[in-house]
Amino acid sequence: MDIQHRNNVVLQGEGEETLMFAHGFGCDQSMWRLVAPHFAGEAKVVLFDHVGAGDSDASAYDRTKYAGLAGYAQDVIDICESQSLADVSFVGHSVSAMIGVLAAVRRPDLFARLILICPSPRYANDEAYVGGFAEQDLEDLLDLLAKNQLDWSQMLAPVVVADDNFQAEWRASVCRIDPAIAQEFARATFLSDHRQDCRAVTTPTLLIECSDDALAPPEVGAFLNTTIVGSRRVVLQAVGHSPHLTAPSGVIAAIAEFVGRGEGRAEAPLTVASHVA
Amino acid sequence: MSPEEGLRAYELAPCGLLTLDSEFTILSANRYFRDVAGLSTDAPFEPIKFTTLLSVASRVYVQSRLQPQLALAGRVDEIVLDIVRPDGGRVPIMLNAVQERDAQDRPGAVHIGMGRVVAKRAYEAEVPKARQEALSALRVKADFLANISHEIRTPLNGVIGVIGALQRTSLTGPQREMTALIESSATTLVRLVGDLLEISKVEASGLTLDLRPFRPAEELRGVLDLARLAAHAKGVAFECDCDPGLDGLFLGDAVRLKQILNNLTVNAVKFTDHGVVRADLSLEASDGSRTLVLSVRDTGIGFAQDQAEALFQPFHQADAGISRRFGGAGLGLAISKALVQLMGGSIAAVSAPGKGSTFVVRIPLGEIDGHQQPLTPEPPDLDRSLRILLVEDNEINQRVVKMILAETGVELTVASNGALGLEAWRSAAFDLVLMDMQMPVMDGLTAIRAIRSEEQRHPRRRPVPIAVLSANAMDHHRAEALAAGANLHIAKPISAAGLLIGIDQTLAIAGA
Repeated sequence: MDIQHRNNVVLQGEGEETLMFAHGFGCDQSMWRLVAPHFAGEAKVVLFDHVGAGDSDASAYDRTKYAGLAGYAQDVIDICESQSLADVSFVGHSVSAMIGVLAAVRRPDLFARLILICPSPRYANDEAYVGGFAEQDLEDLLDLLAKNQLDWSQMLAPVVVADDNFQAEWRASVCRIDPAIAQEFARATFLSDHRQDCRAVTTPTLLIECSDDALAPPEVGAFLNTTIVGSRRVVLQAVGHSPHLTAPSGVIAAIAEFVGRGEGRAEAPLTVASHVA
Repeated sequence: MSPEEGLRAYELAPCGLLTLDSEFTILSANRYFRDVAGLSTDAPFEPIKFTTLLSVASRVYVQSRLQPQLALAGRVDEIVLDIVRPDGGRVPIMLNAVQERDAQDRPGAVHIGMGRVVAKRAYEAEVPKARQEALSALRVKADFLANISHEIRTPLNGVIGVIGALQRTSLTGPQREMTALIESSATTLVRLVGDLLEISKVEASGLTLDLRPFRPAEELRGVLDLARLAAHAKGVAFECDCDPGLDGLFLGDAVRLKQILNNLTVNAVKFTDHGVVRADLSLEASDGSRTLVLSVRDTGIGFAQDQAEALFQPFHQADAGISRRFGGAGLGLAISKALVQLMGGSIAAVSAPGKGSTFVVRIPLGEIDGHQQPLTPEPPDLDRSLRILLVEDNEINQRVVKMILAETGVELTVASNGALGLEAWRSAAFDLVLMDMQMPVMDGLTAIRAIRSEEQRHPRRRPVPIAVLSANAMDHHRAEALAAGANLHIAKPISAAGLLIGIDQTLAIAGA
């Protein structure tokens, strides 16, 4: 298995630090383009696409393996091993935050830091736990995701996908995901519960969240901050669930500060190229 | 356009137009949008977050998908969301959006055009259902084929049974020939119905051969006679030639061979309006092996040579218009090819459009010493006056059995389901029971088990020989019947000879 091909692993820059960026649900590695280049000057930057997203090899998709996030976490470990990465600062957005948690719990030796952007260990409310959603909301969400991008794959794929123009447009678009896989990825994402895994994290962790995030309300950030022992929590004044796109400078500054601090290491702080908000 | 006209167009546009800041606060919205969202169209517009007007799921979608895509690509199209009006009503909408970028290339104002899509969404909700229905329709079709085949078998079995009975009456020579033709056609039809089930799965593996000693000339002549009748009815000449070597005894499946030759001759006649259809049956001998060669040539419409291979695919005819002009399912050649291959032979077609076509089938045949005569065992004479109980729900089958046994001096009692059969068996002594499998009220297997169980409780009562009559000739049905306590399984269609031999064997097996 060619891991680099499977996950479309892209390496940028060189440096003592290694930053690995994992995109969230509904997009591909292109979502890091406002953030990753800022680190490529001084660090080794590793970008990749989850199987089914971007330029990954969708034929490697295995329904059983990827029915939960553990399969994706294994891919992260595979990438680290195949590229001989060590002391990785793992930057995971949304669902990839939990994928990073699973990978770091299984292989703490590979990871120096976890930087979790808009993470949530469980989206559904559960007794005292506030995930932000009733079960019905999540079903609605899965339904809406289906309506917006998945239906055509099932209903129209033979017609639509055969259209060269459409294919070209799709290839050129950002946030590409195989619609059929996306549907299962959505289930794996939104119906998962990884609160126990978060308790087992020993890797130094930075939590970055937005002040107004419909997907991960402040209660979730507070829960993670107490659950992941020693974690730091940064709340950006931003609307939405993708601050690395809508407020990239805040995200860059927070990452740079956390990585630069070295969490016990003595390296010099990384320079941040853009204006830090 | 003057500013007033522009404003008027904006306000009265038959679609929602709104502008948001980069944080998705609504800066302005026209009347259509305010209407759809249930916002006051009179009061001055209060700045609110776009997301607060949406369902929970839509809010998440906007933040997790729409916002990133806008930030990356600058525009999104055909996004479906749900607005929740202040009165709680949901309105499905579809929107397109573009996002400006500020001087520092940061995401700026968002412009949205939207419309309500109530009917469209209702329609789309039907699409998966329609797809589901299409899939189940396929299943229904397969089930239908299975059921209809079963249904067709029953009257066919009646035809075959009656012919068998008819042939045992005194007939003139021509009448005997005619009944032989009817019987041959009906037997082929039974096999075809069975094949329809298999070929509907397009699996030739479902076809089987039943090898028996037979005389090709004798068996195939009937097919040629039918073809001649059909050709003459169309005003087409029919010629045929049969190698005398084919009068000998060979090992093969006569019914299947008839089926193949029938397919070829029927096609030839069907596709020929003028001229002649010619069938040649010959025998090639080399190195001790014998090959039966069936050649059918016509002067009909023909087809392009490059279509020859496709003709042997199921449901295929050389052009789609053909099925409208000529009918037929396009199964014949597919079945024929599968059968020929099963026999270790080959089938080929040579043709050109308008030049007629020639189909040649070559099948290796095993030769048998012509002096043996194990063709069909002679039906035994049931000279004893037997008391037989027939348990059978189908009236035609009841009459067939009655007709066959009418000349034998058998005393026949008929019960039309398992429960009545059980009652009849209890109330009188019988030398033999003929039991159908599928019946209302109580099926045959249940009735047999009941009989055997009562016999065990009354050891003095001699076990009655039971033969099962069933169209389910598959091995596990046979095993089921025997396990239930039957002595023999007689496969339908019931022929006179088959029934008489079956009765004889059952009595022999049961030691009666």
